[in-house]
Amino acid sequence: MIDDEELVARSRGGDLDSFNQLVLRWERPIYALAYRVIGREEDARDVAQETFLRAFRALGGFKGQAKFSSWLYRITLNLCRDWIRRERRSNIAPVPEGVDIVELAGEATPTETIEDLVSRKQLGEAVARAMALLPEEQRTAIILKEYHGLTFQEIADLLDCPLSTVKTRLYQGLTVLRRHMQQAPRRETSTRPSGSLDPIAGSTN
Amino acid sequence: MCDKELLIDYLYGELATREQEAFDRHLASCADCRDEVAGLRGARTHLQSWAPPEPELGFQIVRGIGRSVTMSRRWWGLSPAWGLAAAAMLVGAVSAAIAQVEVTASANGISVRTGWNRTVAPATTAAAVDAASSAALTRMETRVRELEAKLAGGTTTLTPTSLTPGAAVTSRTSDAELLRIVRRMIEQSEERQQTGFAERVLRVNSDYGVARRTDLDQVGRRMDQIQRSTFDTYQRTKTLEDYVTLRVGLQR
Repeated sequence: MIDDEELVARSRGGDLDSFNQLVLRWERPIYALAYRVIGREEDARDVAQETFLRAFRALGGFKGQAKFSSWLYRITLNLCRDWIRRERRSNIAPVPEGVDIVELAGEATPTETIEDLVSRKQLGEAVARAMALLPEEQRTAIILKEYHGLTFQEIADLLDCPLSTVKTRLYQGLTVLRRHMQQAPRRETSTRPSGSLDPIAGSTN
Repeated sequence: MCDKELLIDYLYGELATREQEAFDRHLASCADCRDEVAGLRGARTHLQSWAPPEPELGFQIVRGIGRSVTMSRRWWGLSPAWGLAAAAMLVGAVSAAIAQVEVTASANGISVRTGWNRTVAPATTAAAVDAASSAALTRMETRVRELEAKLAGGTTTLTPTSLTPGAAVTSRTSDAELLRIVRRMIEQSEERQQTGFAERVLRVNSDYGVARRTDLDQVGRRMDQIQRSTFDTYQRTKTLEDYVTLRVGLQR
């Protein structure tokens, strides 16, 4: 497989197909990053699309001083930051009204029962809610470390902050997350009709 | 309570072996740190259950007119079965489009049109237009060279279609002047021809590219909609069936 650096070099030489190979290779991680930071599917798609457009237009200025992926991550995070500023919201994760049991069961693996699936889905939603409550910089540090496997140093470079700050943000973010997750109650394992499966709603009873 | 940075390094396995062993020994004797490490590990485990949606993305950069670029969606970002169906349709559509190519050369330039909904009048191919233009250019060039040769030889009487020896030269100075003017006219004419031809070729290329991309985009979008709709229906039916089966099984 041709590595990113080679594809970047070809793209800089005007080869559009090479750049589109990079797009194909990175569109999912970039979308996932945008989605987890801003929490909205359609907006995350827009951010991902804009990331690649900007990257293509700025390709002449990319001298390979960082990994191509890091450069893409930086563009994405800048766009997410702009989006968050525009939205001016503190609670930015989508809060689903309920879970559609039919839609949900379509995602089941062969060994998973409906109950398992509901439980896993609810846990994921509870995590999304808890993450949305974190300050942006803590959330971003956790996302880059947990879901994109960046090193502490790569995160520090990306966020333009000292290494110690990255670790502090991770510690604080994980601590708050742990607290929130401990407060989220264990769900009953029985299935219920659509619209009544919200794990957080259940915690108020 | 120990250093938080150290704790994070330990949590992510980024301590050197000796430091890690030292931290392990510390944990054995410090209940607070032990609890904290366990709690943070639990939070990390929870994080793995948060999966983003997996929409059809299929981004790709396409060149627009001039130097502009835009984003499009890959039409082949479909499941294999639908991808094959889309490819088959596309081959048919492209064949139909090729069969209905219309190339028009007019005072406004050359235009190429393709389409599924047009009934095209007997068409001239781009190659034929090209050949006709070249022949006309060659004929004109021959005539001009002939004129130039005659003038250089001192003959000044011209007819519209050829140069014939005729009246005597009245002045060598006026001949030279005439020759200079004719040469200038030839140069200007060639320049205009070349520029005009290049512009027309560019326009043809650009129009054809835009039309092709638009058509492909439309096909891709339509196939995407059909695929999504059919797949959703299938999934829902299957899931409902599984669910009913499961409930019936549980009731028994």
